[in-house]
Amino acid sequence: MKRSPLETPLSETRAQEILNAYGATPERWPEEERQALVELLAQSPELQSLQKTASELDDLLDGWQPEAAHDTDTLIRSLPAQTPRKQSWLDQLTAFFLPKPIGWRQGLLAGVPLMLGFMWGLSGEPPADDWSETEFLIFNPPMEVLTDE
Amino acid sequence: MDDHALMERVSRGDREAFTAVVALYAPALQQFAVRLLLQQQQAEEVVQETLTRAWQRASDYDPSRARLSTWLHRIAHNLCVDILRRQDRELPAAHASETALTWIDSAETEIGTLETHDKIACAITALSERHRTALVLTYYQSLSNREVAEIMRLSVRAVESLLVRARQQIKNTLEESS
Repeated sequence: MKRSPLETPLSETRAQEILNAYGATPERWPEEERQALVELLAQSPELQSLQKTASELDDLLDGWQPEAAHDTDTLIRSLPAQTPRKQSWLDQLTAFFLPKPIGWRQGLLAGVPLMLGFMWGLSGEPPADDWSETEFLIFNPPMEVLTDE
Repeated sequence: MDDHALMERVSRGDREAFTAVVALYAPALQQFAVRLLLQQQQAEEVVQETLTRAWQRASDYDPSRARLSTWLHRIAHNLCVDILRRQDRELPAAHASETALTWIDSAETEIGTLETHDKIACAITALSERHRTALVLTYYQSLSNREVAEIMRLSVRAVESLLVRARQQIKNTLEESS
């Protein structure tokens, strides 16, 4: 039989713990250990005996079925008002600055020009002007400029 | 319709969806509360209050955290524990055994003369609140070990330990009575 990734190998001690806690019915056993316990039970007469004892108590427990009548018609007829959804601090902050909620579509639309500008700025050539020449001329004017006066 | 869709509709005030929630879960909640409180009237009040809270706080339900059944059982469990603790404060002495005998309506009957199902009722009701809760949620409410642990806010191992002791105590009580 193929073992699922959830299932783990089971020790005899752990098998006893499961039977003592959950009883003899496999449906009540922990899901990830169920198949391994079924396989271990098939090989161990001690565990089979423990399962039989557990099964006797299970049968007795199953016998306790107290009557439980319920009247829910009145409840449905007289339902109180619902409480509004709890807001996270982010929602509360957004609501404070933006009383009217902005939908994600409008937000996305408003962000498009911003993103285009940003991308255009990133993809453009670096400024072609070389200011070093201008700077040089300011601090070292040509002789003819200096001698004109 | 799944839990999420159902509670989404309930959170928008859809009474039809809420009626479906009631039809699906009220019987199990009633069984749970009766087994824990051992009193019809109180159990009914717990179920009413649980469902009223579910209606009022439907928008708080998070399907990624728990199944609807687990969420409702946790609300009901908290309400039951409040009642049981209040009762323990008011009737501290031998409360469990008295309640057990009241439950089976045989106050003057010795445990040895009871029918088997009454003996079982008596043995279960003599358990402490935590042992009884673990047993009832696992055996009668068909919840997984993780769900029981979540409802009781305990680890899975702690729930298992409660179950072992609960079963042992029931066995001892039954052996003493026979």
